[in-house]
Amino acid sequence: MSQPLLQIQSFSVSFGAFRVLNNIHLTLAPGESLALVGESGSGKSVLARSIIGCAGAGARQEGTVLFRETNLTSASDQTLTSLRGGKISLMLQDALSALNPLYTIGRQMMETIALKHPAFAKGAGRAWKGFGRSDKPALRAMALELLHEAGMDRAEECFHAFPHQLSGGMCQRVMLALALAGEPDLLIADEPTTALDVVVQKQILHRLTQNVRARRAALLLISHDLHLVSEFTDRIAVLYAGQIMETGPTRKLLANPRHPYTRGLLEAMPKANTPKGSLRPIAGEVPAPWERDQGCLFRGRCPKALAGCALPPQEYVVENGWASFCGQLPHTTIPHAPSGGGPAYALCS
Amino acid sequence: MKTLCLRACGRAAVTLALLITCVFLGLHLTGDPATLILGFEATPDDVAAFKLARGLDLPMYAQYWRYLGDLMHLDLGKSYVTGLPAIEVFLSAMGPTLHLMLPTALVTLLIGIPLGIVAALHSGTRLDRGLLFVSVLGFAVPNFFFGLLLILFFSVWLGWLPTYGNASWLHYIMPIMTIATSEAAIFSRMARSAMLEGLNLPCVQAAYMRGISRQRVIWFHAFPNALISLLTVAGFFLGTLTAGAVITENIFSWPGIGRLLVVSVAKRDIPVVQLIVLGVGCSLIVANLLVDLLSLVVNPKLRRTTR
Repeated sequence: MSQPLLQIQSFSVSFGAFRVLNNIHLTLAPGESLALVGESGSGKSVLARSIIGCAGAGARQEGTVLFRETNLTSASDQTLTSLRGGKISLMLQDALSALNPLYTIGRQMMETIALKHPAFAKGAGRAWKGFGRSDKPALRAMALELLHEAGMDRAEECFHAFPHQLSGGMCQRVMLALALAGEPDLLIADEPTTALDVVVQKQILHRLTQNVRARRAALLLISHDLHLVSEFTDRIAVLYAGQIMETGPTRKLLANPRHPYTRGLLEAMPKANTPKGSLRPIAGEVPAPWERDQGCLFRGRCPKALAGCALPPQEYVVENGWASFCGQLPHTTIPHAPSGGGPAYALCS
Repeated sequence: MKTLCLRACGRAAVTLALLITCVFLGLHLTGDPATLILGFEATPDDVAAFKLARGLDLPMYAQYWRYLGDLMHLDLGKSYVTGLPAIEVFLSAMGPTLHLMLPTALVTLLIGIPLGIVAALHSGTRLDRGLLFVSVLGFAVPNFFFGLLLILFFSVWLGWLPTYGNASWLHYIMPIMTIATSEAAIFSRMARSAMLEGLNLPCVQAAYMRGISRQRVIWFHAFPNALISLLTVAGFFLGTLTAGAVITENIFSWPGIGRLLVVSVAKRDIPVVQLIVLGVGCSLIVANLLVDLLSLVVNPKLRRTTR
């Protein structure tokens, strides 16, 4: 097992009295890709943003998020600013609104490259200045290269365009190019392709995973699209109402889910040959933050719920690297005794 | 871009035509100028002579035509009170008004906008609440009261500043303070909300999440976006400057447009009133046109060539 790149341990995030993420454990090794799936409101985006320290002004964090040796929950503003867009970059969902309407794509890319690309960024002194006239040709060449890398066909035209002149797919490619500008070791993609059609989705994710793999970087892909996830990631973590329900190898887990919630998600997902009327949505809604307690939060909607589900969920190991927080579906091993610090299983390959 | 500019100019021209027509109609709808000016005791012969002299016996469309022709020559009749050409009376008051209002506008913008930005950057803190208190106070105290307070303090008690007229730079201090206090209070609130809106834009948040430093995000991403919404407000504000400040000019006996308007209305000096309405209307139209053209330059989203 190599040294993990990102270690999230006993991590919780609350806004005021409401806990939106509860006791999260996740580990990510270099070169690995992890999918984070779950319904809207399950806390996926909050997790993504709190990794880079952008959960919001009122967020209270507990536990640790270790990036290599840096604890991101207690890191200084300066450290976080230099990590953001550098070693850790976040690619956002709504690309058009994430681009400044007042500047051309080229200008925004050159700014980000000048501040974040290892070959251009020269320490904190430049954080304010941006770039000068003399840097322009090199920055421009780099921007065009990144746009090509992101799969933009007419990079030159795009460079001079304003965001509103581009299609959704093109904007998202720009976002990818921007996210790659810092040559990140960890790329967090928060539903990067949700608003796009299937063909463009695949193209962009293909580019993304190619780049990440080539540089042996790690990918945290946040999505609610299980098809995409099974195609592009090695491991999966299923999040529900701020709790991890099940984590394991993506394909094995999706083929044979050991948590009723994962099973519910799969049954609610259409395939091309799904007969009409056979989709089964999960009844009910994600409990609101003020309805959450210490027990399994899915029990209100779970077909297999028992009285014991009101107790804090226990971890059941299915096999090495695959754990479910529900004992109702068949498992090969008995539950682990609740462990004090961190997960008792190894999640890194 | 060119068509968009032309369209903005066209809109301004249409508004101007409407304004001119409305002033003409308004003047003729408010009653017969002859009886208004000569009074009810006038004999029918007097009235007829008056009408003949001013072309009031002509049919409406002919009068309108003549009025337009006069406008072209900037000949808007003579003041009933002084007998001087109305345009001269108007321009002699416009000078002092602009001398007063341009520095006032500068002070207003230079105080209001930075205060608003400071409040936005510290939103929710004690500083923000303090600035809110100050700006509510500045806005809530009426100009006539604040002006009198200033006179009481600086002129009556301290004897430092003169109370009326516009002879020296000392005369400018209190009127400027009076107007700028309330205007800057309003501007600081608008600048605050524009800046907060700018800071909360998804693209500004995204720039921050890309690891661009906070200072750079504030000044290169949030601020330009805030400026766009401030531009409209500032343009409108600058357009109203020519109207002077009716209350403040009266308090400090400032020989400007605001005071001229009050005097002219009181004395039924219709040519002068007409000219003031036209002049102020024109300056608003011009200010709006400038804002339209400027936002085309600043905001690329408006520059769509496809439409």
